[in-house]
Amino acid sequence: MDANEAILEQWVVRTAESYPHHAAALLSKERDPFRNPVGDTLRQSLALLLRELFAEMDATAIDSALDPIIRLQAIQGFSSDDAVRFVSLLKPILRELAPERNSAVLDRRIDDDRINRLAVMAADKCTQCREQLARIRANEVQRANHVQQRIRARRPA
Amino acid sequence: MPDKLLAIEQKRPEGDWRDAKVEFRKGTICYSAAPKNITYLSLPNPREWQPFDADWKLPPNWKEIILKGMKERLRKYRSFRLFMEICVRCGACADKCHFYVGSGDPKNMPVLRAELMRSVYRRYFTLTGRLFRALVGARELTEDVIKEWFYYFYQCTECRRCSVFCPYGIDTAEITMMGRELLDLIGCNINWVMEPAANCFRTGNHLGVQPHAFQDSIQFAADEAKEITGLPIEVPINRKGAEILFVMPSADYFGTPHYYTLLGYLMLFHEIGLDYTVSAFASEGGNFGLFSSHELMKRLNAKIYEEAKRLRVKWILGGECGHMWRVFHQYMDTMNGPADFLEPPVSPITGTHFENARSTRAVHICEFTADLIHHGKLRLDPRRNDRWNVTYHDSCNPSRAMGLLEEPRYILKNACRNFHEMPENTIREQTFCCGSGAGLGTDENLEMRLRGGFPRANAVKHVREKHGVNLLACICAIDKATLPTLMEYWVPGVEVAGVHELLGNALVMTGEKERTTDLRGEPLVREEATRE
Repeated sequence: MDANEAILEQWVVRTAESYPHHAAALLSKERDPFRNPVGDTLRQSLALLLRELFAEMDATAIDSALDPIIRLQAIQGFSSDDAVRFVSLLKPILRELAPERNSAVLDRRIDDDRINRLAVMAADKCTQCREQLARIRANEVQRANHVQQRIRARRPA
Repeated sequence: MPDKLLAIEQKRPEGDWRDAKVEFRKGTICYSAAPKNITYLSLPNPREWQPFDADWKLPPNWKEIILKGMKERLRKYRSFRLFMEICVRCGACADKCHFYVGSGDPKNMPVLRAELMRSVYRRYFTLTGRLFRALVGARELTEDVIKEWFYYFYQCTECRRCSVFCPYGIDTAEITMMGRELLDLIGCNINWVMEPAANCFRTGNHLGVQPHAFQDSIQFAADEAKEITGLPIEVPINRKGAEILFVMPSADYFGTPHYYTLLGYLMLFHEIGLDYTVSAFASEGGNFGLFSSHELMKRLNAKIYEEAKRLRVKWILGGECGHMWRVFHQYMDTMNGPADFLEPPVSPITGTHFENARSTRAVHICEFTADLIHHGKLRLDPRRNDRWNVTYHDSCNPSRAMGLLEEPRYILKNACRNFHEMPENTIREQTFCCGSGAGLGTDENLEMRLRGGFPRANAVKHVREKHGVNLLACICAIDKATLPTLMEYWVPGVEVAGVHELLGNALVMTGEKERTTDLRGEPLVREEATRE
């Protein structure tokens, strides 16, 4: 396992630990994406985010990578603070793993500044998801009365 | 970052499962039943209260009521007694519940959800539990336990996926049903179940639609079907002496996308010249009594056979609905039968005897239509559905409760040209629930529904990315009400439709005008090419 894989693995495990105890093992170990969709989503998102942190921090790519994980945590009972906490979990992991295995990790600018920027983007995404919840709730009510609305619309007042 | 901050413990504490305290947070619970609905149904302890209140205003002798209710049910239902005894905690069910998979809350593991009740059973109904208490996993029945039951038994959609994997055949849904029945005895129930049930008792349907409004909606649908096809489509209502009584969920004539399924039924019945009637009294196939108690389920179901008798029909045809079919298929015959005033169902078009419905005398519309297609009685042009790239969600009750797996697929494959299955461990008997069944499909519970629906949505996302799927077909009214919400949040770009909507699009009707739109009023993309 190279340094990047080790960092990713630790990031997945520690993010999974923010879930209740029994679930953490399932989330980080089970690899079938349909038996463990939450764990799979965490892993995919974190892998893409790590890649962007190493590369150019492309805003569009980061947005796509953040969306699945934040979308999940926004409805899993996490407070806004907790929903973006997985980003800051990366800092101690880098300090633990990077100097020993590959000091170049830090040289490649995965620094606090990048991680802080990522946290801000995550917070923004979390707000977007919460706003969407209000919209889809309203749409559901509209669909439930669809026929009556159409009948009324067709009849003269 | 300061070291102190890094030293914060990120792990959640392990906790003890026997600790019954739960946090009731808006967005993740259903609100309590309004007193007017409880009163209407003559159920106990109507009052104003909410789950997040400290005082639930339970009757003074609530503990005695619950234990007496448990004793009665243990005596009455052998399955309940067995399920309380035989679990060996092998864990086969643990990761099969969509609420556990989507939330990570361990008390949503079916084994542990059942244990919430088993622990009380042990304490009060077994010798070892009375003697050794906590040592053998027995718990005192306290108000906190009641609140915990309410929280978790109203977080189970009774979908029965866990039971597919249990080597002992424990049906955890039945434990949830018992839990809800016991909670009903002390007035702890939810409005999203009790209001539809009260409406149903008053007007015959969940929405409280009165006969004139029912007629209005049905007539509106018939008029739209006429506009689309140019054919004189009529819908008989309360017609005595018809051969078949057609029963559907009320959402079919009220909400969307259900309504397009209704258009599909009406066009099909016109095309084959079916001698049928709908009823303004049996105007609801769904039965929210199933989510409350067996008594209420029986009371609400009684109208189906009563109306079939009054209208002097020969047999019953049922529309696309989920729990309606669990009740029809598994309970109706013993609850309100025998239906000896009806005849064993025979298709008037193909002559097929529906042997599986010989006892209930109720046939599922998908069986009926698949039989018509199989005998070459319908002309279909699947190119009219070319704008859709379809996958099929097995609704829990028709798939697991009645084994209806092939018929809907057979119809879809004949009515559409682009069809892709979701992964094997997410369909058929292993289908994932929409997360909103069993009375949980209310907007105040949206966050919890999105958690429970995530495993299903994740499989849809997979076929969307792999095959470009843009339509999720299903045969359940609750699915049709709640899957669009699920898709909007998790898999934007995927719409939801009933199987008979797609059939109605593809159906080439005798004498019809050239179709320019599909049933949703959207322009048809391809020219017609009839296939016999």
